[in-house]
Amino acid sequence: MSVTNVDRLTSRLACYLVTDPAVESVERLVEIVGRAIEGGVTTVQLRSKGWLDRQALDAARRLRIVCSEQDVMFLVNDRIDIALASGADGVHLGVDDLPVEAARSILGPDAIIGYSPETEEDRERAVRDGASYLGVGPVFGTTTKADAGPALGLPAFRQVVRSVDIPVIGIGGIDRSNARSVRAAGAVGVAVVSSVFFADHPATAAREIVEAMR
Amino acid sequence: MMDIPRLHLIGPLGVVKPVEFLGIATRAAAGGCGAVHLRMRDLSGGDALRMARSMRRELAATPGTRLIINDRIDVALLSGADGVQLGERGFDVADARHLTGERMLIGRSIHDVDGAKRAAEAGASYLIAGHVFDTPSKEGEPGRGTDWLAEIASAVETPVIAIGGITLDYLIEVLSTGVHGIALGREFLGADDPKMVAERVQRTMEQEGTHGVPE
Repeated sequence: MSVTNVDRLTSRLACYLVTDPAVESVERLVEIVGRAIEGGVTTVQLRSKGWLDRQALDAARRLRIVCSEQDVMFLVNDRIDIALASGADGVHLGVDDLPVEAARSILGPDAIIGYSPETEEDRERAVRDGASYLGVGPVFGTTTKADAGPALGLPAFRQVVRSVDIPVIGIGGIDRSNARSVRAAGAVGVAVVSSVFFADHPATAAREIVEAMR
Repeated sequence: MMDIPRLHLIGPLGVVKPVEFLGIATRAAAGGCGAVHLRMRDLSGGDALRMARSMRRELAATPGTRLIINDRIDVALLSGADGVQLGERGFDVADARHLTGERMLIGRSIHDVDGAKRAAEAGASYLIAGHVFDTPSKEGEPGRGTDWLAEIASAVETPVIAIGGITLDYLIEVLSTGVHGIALGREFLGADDPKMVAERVQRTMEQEGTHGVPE
């Protein structure tokens, strides 16, 4: 990736919204994402685990449009086919998903491929295989993912950031009270799930996080 | 466009472990089974790709047998599969074709005449129609029967593959509806020798004529 592209990726990773598949409808999903973008979200990742493929593709296409209108990056979790069919900027993969190297072989050199490593080995392999950025966490305790493991804490998070030469975002238990500390530990951005997605006012919740990081 | 296989094995259906299914499918392929379908809804993307690649390797000995992946077009592309099988609420055929290119087979599962016509018009390579008979995997939903199947088969030019509770005893009755072929799950998975099952079906199909056209 060229320097310009890395700068662009870094700025777009600042406030990263992960959608929750438990949302009641595609309409509601699009509405929440629209609000969150108003509040300053710079990347949206669609999670559609358990959904029918047609519904997931419909959601992806609608989010692609909403994001493009505001120059927001749009990524699809796990499903490379849905990413391709919706024209997403790329995918985000976890350790149980399709391998980074496989995703890169289909999506080509310009696609954004994010990866959530669990071990140091995962992390190094992902960087070698062409991951664009890493999502690392849980930085703090979280209730969203029961299987997310114990919190890393800021010192360990800072070490991970230092150990790789691609951008890192923090995930897990991040809200307006601690977003700044994650940035200070070297993250180019923070990922938020429930604190924005299920907030009464997603725009306000996103804005508070963006402002907290300034 | 490659020929449409007439005998399809559907698995692993959660009835057998993935590793056992590899052996069953390999035997079925040795007996002339034309297509092996992998339904991997419950597997993660990583496990699904590993399974599909293992199956691809096992089927190298029988190049006439097509590997078909259910729904996950990305897994199909990455495993070198020959086709994808789309559920009724899966990708549209046109969207799938855009990703697969011309080389792959695209099958669509259908459950009524309208669905069959739509899928045929959209350019599906073949249709899987069912379920024809009662089956444990569709408990509480009675089979639609062979008259229904004949109606589907005559409504479209696209080859129709019958599925659902089909056993060897019903083979001739099913083929006489005008379908192109059949898909079997449990009949293979429960067999002592899947190769013999495939051989028996192949023999019956040859006797019943090239495209199962009713006499």
